[in-house]
Amino acid sequence: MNFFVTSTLVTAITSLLFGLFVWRRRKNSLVNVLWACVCFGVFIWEIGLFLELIAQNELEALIFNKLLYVGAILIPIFYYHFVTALLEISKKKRALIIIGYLLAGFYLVVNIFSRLFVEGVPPAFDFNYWVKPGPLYYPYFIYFSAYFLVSFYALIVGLKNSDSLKRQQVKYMLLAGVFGVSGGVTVFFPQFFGVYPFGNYFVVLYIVIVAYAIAKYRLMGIRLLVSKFYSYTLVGALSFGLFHFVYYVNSRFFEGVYSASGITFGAFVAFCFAMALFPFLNYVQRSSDTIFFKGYNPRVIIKDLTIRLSSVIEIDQLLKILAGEFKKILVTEEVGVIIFKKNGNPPKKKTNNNGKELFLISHASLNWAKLKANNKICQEAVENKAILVRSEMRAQYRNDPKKQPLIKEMDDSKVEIIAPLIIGGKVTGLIVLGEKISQEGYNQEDIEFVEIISSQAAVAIENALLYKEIGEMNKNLQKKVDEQTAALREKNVYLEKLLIMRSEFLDIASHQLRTPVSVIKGMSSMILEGGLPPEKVNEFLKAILEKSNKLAEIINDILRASEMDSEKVLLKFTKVDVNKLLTKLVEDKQIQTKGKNITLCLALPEKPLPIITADERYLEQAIGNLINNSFQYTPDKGQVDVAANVKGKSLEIRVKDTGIGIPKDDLPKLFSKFSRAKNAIAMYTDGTGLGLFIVKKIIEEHKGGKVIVEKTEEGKGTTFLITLAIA
Amino acid sequence: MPDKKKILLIEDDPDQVLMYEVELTKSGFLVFTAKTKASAFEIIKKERPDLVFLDLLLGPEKGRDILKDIKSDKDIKDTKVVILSNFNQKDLPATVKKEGALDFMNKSQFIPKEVAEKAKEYLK
Repeated sequence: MNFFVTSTLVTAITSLLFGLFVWRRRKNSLVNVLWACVCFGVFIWEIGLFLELIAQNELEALIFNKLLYVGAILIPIFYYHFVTALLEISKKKRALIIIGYLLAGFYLVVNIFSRLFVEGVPPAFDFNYWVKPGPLYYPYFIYFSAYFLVSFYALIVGLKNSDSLKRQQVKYMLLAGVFGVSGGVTVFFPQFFGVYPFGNYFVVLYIVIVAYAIAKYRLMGIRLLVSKFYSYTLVGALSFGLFHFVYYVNSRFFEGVYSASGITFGAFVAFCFAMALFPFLNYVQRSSDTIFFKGYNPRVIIKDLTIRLSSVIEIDQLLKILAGEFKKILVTEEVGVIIFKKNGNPPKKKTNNNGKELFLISHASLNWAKLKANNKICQEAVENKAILVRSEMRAQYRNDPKKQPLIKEMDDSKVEIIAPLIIGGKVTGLIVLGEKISQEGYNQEDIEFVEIISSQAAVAIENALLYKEIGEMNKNLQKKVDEQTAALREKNVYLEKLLIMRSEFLDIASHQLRTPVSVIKGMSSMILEGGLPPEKVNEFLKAILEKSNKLAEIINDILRASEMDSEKVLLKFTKVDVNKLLTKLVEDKQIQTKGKNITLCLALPEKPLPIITADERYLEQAIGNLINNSFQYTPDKGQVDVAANVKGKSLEIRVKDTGIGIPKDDLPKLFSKFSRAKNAIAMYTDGTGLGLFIVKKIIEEHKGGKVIVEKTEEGKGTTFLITLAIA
Repeated sequence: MPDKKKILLIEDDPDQVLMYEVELTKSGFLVFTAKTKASAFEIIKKERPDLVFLDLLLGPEKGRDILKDIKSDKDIKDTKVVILSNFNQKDLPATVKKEGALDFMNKSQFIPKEVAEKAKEYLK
């Protein structure tokens, strides 16, 4: 048996095994089934070729040759069908697929029942039997080439249109196809090329390439396949080795396999084998994980991950790492982390049926909202305080009708594992894992891994949450400090302003107190000195009286203001006849109008105003202040009107003048202590800024008392309105 | 009387104008009075008073502004100006002196006779 013949056998067996694996992994996946068909096609072809090459006579060779072509006829259409399924374009290419199958069917019939396809098996190269094509062999070449070419074309187009993972898969499928076909062509069509079918050696490469793509790019969802293949090979090699060892020892040192001593030795070895099998299987599993899945030892992973988890303090980053590692190590795409709100209770059956007390931080694409909305799964994990595994639960609770809704929920949301995060005996959150990409169940080692990591993660998450909380607390604290500082600063500014106003007031007040004093003092000294003409003496005495009145007024204002400012003003309320009060007040004020040439009028309604409850003295001062104000800020020939009327249950008193008006900017502070409008300072320098402050204080001490600027216009006049309750 | 010294009193309170005018006239000065800056400048330029008594609060106008304007007007900057006011902030006398005033007198501390005597002193 030469090397070529051996290569056909190797390719055949490898193809068969590979096809079986792919098929068994996902029996209901069209892609897997079709790839298995391609592999079986290659198997039939290569095994046919092998058998033909070692045939003892021509008839035998011819029969095997026909078998060979059964595979060879089916491969192109299987491959094309597979490619369209992989690229999800089967429906679009249905016509071409059907034509392919019809052509394949036609050639199968022709191949089996006639010599139109293969005429005979004459020797060629160094083979005893090879192939002599019949007339229909040539169109077969066209069918073969055409279907592979359209397959490659579809793959190349697919390369451009696929996402990155799919693109990698397609790339390797294309490469596998090219190797397989270029190898195969030299076997099918040596008569066209006249070369030795060396390409057959490369045929087996398509399996290697696809296997690589499976392991690396999750092709056909069977990444696990390669690791299994590795495991089975090792276990098979051990069994095979042991069998030969026993056989060798028995035949060499004992009297054959079935002798008493041979059986004893065999039994001993079998016992040892049984004892060593599980540790060996574990070793194989671990090394397979190391090679194919995780890239390094699980213990190393746990150690590394633990260090990483404990070194990260930002919650978002932590969850990202956690989700990322779970995805990578357990080969799942769905990882969710649910953390219960700090103050919220874990989900309870009655109170929490809509997940309001949960918040979910997930890096998964799965519909976890479903999980959030209904907490049966979460409740179970919280109550059990143990990891839940769907497959285990399904077996365990098969006959428990109460648990069926829970299992259904897990099935619906495709939750495979729920691991509680436990701190101090309290479940603080959950780690939720979806299906593995391979659709394999989670094995014991995976579950243990999840248990270990979830307990580490619980601590890390707790720390991260605390850190976050402290961070937020700090932020809030800083905010509060800032607010308080701002408030203090504002207060400070206000106090500073108040101080400035106070000192300005003191300057003005002392100036105003001194001015009449200096006149009184000066004039009286001059009168005493004598020598003044009598008319001057008279003028002086008048001035002295006026200044004395002014002095009394100023002193009164200052005292009243400080009284108002210090505490609640104690008014003495009595029945007051406003008619009388206003009449008297206006009469008294008429004297002041003469010097300034201002008209002061009082307008009272025909029906006398009702008696009100008020402090007569204070009320008189308040209204008097308003009238004084009007006098001070109304130019010569102006008019001041005092009017009163009843409106509903209120008494309204208006003081209206044709004065300078109040600038809008000064209105908000008008009634504040020491506040004076800009134009007021210009008009009348002696104001203390206390008059309106006193008015407001007095009026507001009265029931329903209010004083406002009802109307004002610069240069035209102002109307002040006092409102008092009647009852 | 050609020897009579001229005094300008810038003051807006009629009572005080009356009082100082009577006293200063009695003391032998030729007294001019002004209530506003405009009228004060007119008198200063026309009459060239030997001394000006200037009040600091003059309604919408401020005495210190008038002082500055006198002192920055080349024509009249040598006019002797004495501030006569009832303000008594600590640093006010020093400030107005820096601004060109000859002196600062607190009205309430001097009776008119003493003001007239001071005026004579300034004009020696």
